[in-house]
Amino acid sequence: MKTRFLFVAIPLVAVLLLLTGCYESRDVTLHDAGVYKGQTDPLVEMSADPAYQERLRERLLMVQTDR
Amino acid sequence: MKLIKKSDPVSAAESPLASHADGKGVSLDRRAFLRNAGLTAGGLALASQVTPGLVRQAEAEGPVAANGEVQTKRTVCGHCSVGCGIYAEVRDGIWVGQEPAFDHPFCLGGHCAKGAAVRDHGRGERRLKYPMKMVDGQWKRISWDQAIEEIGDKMLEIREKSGPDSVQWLGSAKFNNEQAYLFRKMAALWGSNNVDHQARICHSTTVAGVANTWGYGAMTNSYNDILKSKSILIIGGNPAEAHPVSMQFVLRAKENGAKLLVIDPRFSRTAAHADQFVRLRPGSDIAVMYGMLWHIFENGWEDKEFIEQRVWGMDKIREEMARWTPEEVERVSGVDRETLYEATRLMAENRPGTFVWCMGGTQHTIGNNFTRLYSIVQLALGNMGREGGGTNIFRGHDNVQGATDFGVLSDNLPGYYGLSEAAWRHWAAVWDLDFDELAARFAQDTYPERGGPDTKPMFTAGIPVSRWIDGVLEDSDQIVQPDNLRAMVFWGHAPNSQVRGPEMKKAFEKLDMLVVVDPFPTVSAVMHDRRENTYLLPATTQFETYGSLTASNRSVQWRDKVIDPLFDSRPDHVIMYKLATKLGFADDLTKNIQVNGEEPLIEDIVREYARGMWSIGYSGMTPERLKTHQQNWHTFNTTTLRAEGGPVHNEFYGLPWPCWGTPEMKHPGTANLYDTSLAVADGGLNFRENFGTERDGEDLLAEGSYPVGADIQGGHPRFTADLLKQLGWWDELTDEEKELADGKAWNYDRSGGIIRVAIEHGCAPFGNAKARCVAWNFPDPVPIHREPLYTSRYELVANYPTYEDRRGFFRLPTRYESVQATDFSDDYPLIHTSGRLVEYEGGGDETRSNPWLAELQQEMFAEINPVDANNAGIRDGQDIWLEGPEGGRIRIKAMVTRRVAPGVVFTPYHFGGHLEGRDLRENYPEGSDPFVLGEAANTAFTYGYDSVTAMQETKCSLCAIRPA
Amino acid sequence: MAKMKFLCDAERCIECNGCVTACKNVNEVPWGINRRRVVTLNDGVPGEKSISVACMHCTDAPCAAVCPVDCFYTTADGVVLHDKDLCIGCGYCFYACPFGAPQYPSPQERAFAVRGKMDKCTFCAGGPEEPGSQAEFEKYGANRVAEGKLPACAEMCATKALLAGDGDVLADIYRKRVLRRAGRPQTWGWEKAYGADV
Ligand code: SF4
Ligand code: SF4
Ligand code: SF4
Repeated sequence: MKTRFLFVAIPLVAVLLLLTGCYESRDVTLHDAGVYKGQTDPLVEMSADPAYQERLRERLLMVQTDR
Repeated sequence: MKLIKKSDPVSAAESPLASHADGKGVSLDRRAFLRNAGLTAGGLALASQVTPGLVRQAEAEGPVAANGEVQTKRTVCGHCSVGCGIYAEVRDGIWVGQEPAFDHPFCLGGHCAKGAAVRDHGRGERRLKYPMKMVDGQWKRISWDQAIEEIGDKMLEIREKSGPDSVQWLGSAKFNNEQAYLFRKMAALWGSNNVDHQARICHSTTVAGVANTWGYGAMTNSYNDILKSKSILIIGGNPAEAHPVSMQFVLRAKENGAKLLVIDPRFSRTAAHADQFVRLRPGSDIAVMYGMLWHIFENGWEDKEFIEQRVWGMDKIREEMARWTPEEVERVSGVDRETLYEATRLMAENRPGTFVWCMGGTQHTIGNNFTRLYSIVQLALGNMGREGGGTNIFRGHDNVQGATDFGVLSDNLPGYYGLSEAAWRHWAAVWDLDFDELAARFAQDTYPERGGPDTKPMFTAGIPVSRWIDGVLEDSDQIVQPDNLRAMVFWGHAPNSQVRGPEMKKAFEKLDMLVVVDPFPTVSAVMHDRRENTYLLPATTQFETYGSLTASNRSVQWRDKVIDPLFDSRPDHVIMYKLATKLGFADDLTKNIQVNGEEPLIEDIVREYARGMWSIGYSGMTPERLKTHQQNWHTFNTTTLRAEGGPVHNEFYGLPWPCWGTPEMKHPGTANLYDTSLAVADGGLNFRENFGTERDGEDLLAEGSYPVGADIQGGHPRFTADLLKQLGWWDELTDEEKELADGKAWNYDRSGGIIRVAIEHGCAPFGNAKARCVAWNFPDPVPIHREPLYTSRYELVANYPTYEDRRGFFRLPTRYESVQATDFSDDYPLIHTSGRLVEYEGGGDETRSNPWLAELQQEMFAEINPVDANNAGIRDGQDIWLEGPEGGRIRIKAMVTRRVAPGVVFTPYHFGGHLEGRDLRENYPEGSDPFVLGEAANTAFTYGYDSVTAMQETKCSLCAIRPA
Repeated sequence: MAKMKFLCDAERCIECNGCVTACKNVNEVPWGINRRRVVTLNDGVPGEKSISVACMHCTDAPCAAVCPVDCFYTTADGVVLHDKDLCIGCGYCFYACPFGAPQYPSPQERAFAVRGKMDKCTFCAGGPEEPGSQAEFEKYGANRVAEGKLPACAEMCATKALLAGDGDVLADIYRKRVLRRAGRPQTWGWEKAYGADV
C-alpha cells in the first residue's frame, strides 16, 4: 500500500521539480543599490506636499510638547 | 552602545540567555532576559494561540469608514489611579481604535504599557465568557438564571443556619463609584459588615494614619501639582512602574530645578532618575524618618510658625526622636549620618517639597505608624497645605480612592461615617429605609467572651479581606460573630494579592460555597481542589458600562461606555440587582433609583449618594456636572487643574472632593487640601477638627491660621446647629434647612444648610484645628518602631518588640509576639519583599490575559543580589525555589541583579496560576487561561497584620532560596 | 524640507513600555514581532538609562544599501519604507541595521499575512499600498501620517521622552529641555562625585 503510493508520488514530485526548473520568472529583480523596484507608494508624492508637512508639524507642536 | 537583539524567535541553543549564562553576554537588561527566557520556554506555543484578531479597516478618507460611522468615546484607563484619559474609537459596536487624549489634564496623551494596550479589552479573548459552575470537578456552562438561583438559595441556607455574617462580600477597586456604593449598600441590606476590598491591602494604613493626623485620609494635592514642587521625596514607591504617567510631572518638575530624593530598599526605575538615592533596610522607615526629624530640629530647619499655628504634639515627637541618634538610625536602618543629613538638607533647602509614598510604606504591621510619621515630617517642614507640597499618596487601582470613599470596607459606611448608630441612621435616612428594619437584618448577639466588644455586629468592624482565611479556618468560638465564614464572594478581587498561599488553599476547600464575579476566572477559580459549589459569573470591564471613578487626587472622572458587554457578561451593578432580587431586597436597594430592565440607573445612584456624602463633599456632584467636565478636558490648566474659561470656568477638574454642600452651591472642588491661601468657597481649607477641641489641657484648635476670607480668624470647632445658634448665624438657614439641620452636626445635616452657611462665612464646615502628631486612640499614640514579625535582625527585637497578641481584632484573634517569639532568621536568612511591574496590575489576571502586555513579561522571577545568589549557588536565569518561613514555597526564575541589596530578595506580585511548582493551567475554564501564568509571590508571604487596619505585611518577611 | 526623525530623551524615559504596546495596538503587531523595544543600560545600578529604539529612518539607510532585491524606498520627508511583496526575507538588512530594527516572523506566525517577510517600524506610515486601505493595514499596519497624525509610540509616550516628527522641531523641543536642565547635572551621582556645582 505504502510502496504503491510512493511509486506514484516520487515520479510526480520529480516531474513537478523538473517543471519548476523550467519555469522562469519574468520580473527578475536585479540588485541596483538604492534604486527601488517595488510598487509605488502614493505617500511618497503626498509627503512632498508642503501642506502635508505643515499639518504634521502642527500636530507635533500640539501633542508632544509639555503644556 | 550595543543593542541587544531580543525577540527574534530563537531556539534554546541560540538564546542570548544561553550565552549570558556562559558569561559572554553583556549588560543584558531585565526585559531581554525575561523575554527570551519566555520565548524559549513557552512563547512559541503561546504565539500560535494568538489569533490575528480584529483588524481595523482603515479608510482612504480618514477615520470614517464606509459601513458604519466611527464614534469617539471618552473613557479612562482602568489600570491605575493616575486616571489617564483615552479616546476610544468604535465602529459598528467594535472597538477599532485608540487615540491619545492630548487634551486630558492628567496625562496629556501619555500612557504606560497598560494604558497603551487597553483596546485589547474590546477583544477579551481570554475572558470568562459564560456563567460557569463546577460539577464534580469540571467546569460546566450554566445560565444566569440558574446561577443566581443556586447561589441565592445557598446563601439563604447559610444565613438560616449561621447568620448573615457567614457570607463574606469582597468588592472591588475596579467598580466605578456607583457600583461601589451599591455594593456597600447591598452588604448592609444583607445584614453584615463582612464586606471589604483592595484598599484594605494597599493603603488602609494610609487612610487611617493620615485621617487621624489632619482629617482626611487621601492624597492632599495632585499629580499635576508636583510641577510646583521644589523637592520630591518618594519613599516606598516606584511610580516609574506603578504610576508611570505621574513621572511626566516628576521629571518635568526636575527639569524646572526640583530635586528628587528616593528612599527605598531597591534601586528602582524611579531611583534611576533620582538626585539622591537612599537605600534602607525594609521595614525601618520609622528610624529613617526620626533620623530626618533629628536633622531637621538639629539644624533649625523646622517651620516654627507653621508648627505653632497648625500642629499639636510635636513636643511628644521630639521626645521619641531623642532616642534616634544618627548612630541608632544607622544601626536599625543601615542609613548613615552623612547620607541622611544630605537627604534632609535636600528637602529643607528646597521648599515646598512634596512627599510621596506607596505600598512600601503601608504594608507593615506598623504601617499606621509609618504613614503618620511621614505626615509629621511634612508638618515639621511646613510643607502641608501648600501648592507643590503635601503628602501625595499615590493610590493603586483606577478607582481604589472611590471604592474607599464609598465605604466598601468592613469598618466603614460610605463617606467614612464609621459604623456608629448615628452613621447607620444617617444612611438609613438617605436610603429612605427604616433604621430598625435595617438593624433587624443583622445578627443580634454580642460575643464578649470571644474578645469582642459589647456591641452588636452591626456596629463592629467585619472581617477584612486580609483575614478571610482566618475567618474560615479559625475555631468558631474564637470569632466575634455567630459562625465561621462559609461562603466567599470574590467580586473583582484576586486572591493572589493576599498572603499565606498554602493556608488559603485549605480555606478555599473548606468553604461551603465560592462565588467569583469577575471578567476573568482569576486565581480563585483554579488554586484549590474544590469539586462542587463553585460558581464563576462573568462581569464586564468598565469599558462595557459607564459611570464615575475617582483618581488618586480625588478628582471624579466620568467614563463613557465604549462597547456593549462582551459574550454573556453583565455589568456589576446589573449582577448586584439580580442577586438582590433573588435575596429579596432589590426594592430596598433601588428604592429611589430607577431600574431599566435589570439595570439600576447610574445617574440616579449619583444623585442618591450625593444626598448622603456630606462628610467628604461628594455632595456637590451631579451626573451633569461630571459629564460637563468630561466633555471639556481641554479647558483645564494642566498645572493647577482649574478650568480657564469654558462652561466650567474656575472649577477644578473632576471637582476633587471635598466639593462642598449641595450642587446648587457650585463649589469648584478642592485641588489641594488644607491650603489656607484660598477661600473655602474657592477650594481653600484648613486642618479638620475631628478629635475634640482640647487634649491634656492644651488647645487643639488652630491658632492664628485660617483660610483667606474666613469670618472666624482662628481655630474653631466643627459646625453644628448649636454652634450656628451661638454664632447668631442660625437664621441664615431657610426654614426647610432648619428642619433637617436642627440638632445635627454639619456632616449629618441632610439639607446641606449648615455647610452652606459656614462656607458663606468663609469657614471650613469641619472646623479649624491643628494637625495632631499624637493619635491617642491608636496602639502607638506616638509612632514608634517595632521589628517585623519575621525579622532578619532578631537582635533588635529586644529593643523594638512587636505588640502583644490580641483577641477580637476585626473579629479575630491576631498574633504578634507569639509569632515573633521564634527566630527564623537562621533558616530563612533573606528579607523577602514585593512590588510591581509596569506591564501588570494587581493579581494580574486581566493584564496577563492581554497579549500585548503578556508578551513583555513571561516569567515570574525573583531579584537576587549576586552575593546571595553566589552563596546559594544560583545563576542568573536558573529555576529556584523560594521558601517562606511558614513553609509556602514558589518555583521561579532567578534574576541576579544589584538592584536589590545583599540580603534582600524582591518578587513581583502579579503572577498566579502556578502553585508550589504545579502548573494549574488545565484548571481554568477552556479558553479563559491567561497567556502568562506563574507562581504568586504571596504564596510564600507570611502572617502579620497592621495594628490598626489589619493590613497584611508584604514588604518584609523572610525567605530562603535554593536552586530547583 | 522636513525630515522625519525619532528622538528618545534618556533623561525622561522610564522604561514603561508604553511606546511598545502603543505600537502593538495601532498596528496590530502580532506576538513575537517587536517593531519597537526599550533597551536599558546599567540595569539596576546607578547610571541606569533606558531608551526606546525602533527603526530610526536613517538618511542613508544601510538596510536599503544591502537589500538584494531593492525593496526599500524613502518618502519625501525621509521615512524609510519597504515593499513586502518584493522582500525575500533574507535577513541582510538585519545585519546592516545599526539599531536591530528589522524583524522576521517565525515560521509558525504568519505575521501580517506574509510569511517570512521582514517587518519593521514604518513610522506609522504604512507601505506601498493605497494609504488607509485594508491591504496596507494587513501588510504594514496603520498609516497615521497620511491622516495627519504622528507615530503612536511617540504620541502615547508616558513622559514625552520619545518624540517623533520633523527633526527641526524635535531639536527645538529638546534644546529647550536641555537648557532648562543646564546648571544642574541630571546624571545620578554627579553631584555627589564631583561636588554641587558641576
Ligand atoms: S496604568 Fe496608570 S499611568 Fe498607565 S496609562 Fe493607565 S492610568 Fe495612565
Ligand atoms: S512609528 Fe509606528 S510602527 Fe514605528 S515603532 Fe512607532 S508605533 Fe510602531
Ligand atoms: S513610553 Fe516613553 S517613557 Fe515609556 S518606555 Fe517608551 S519612550 Fe520610555
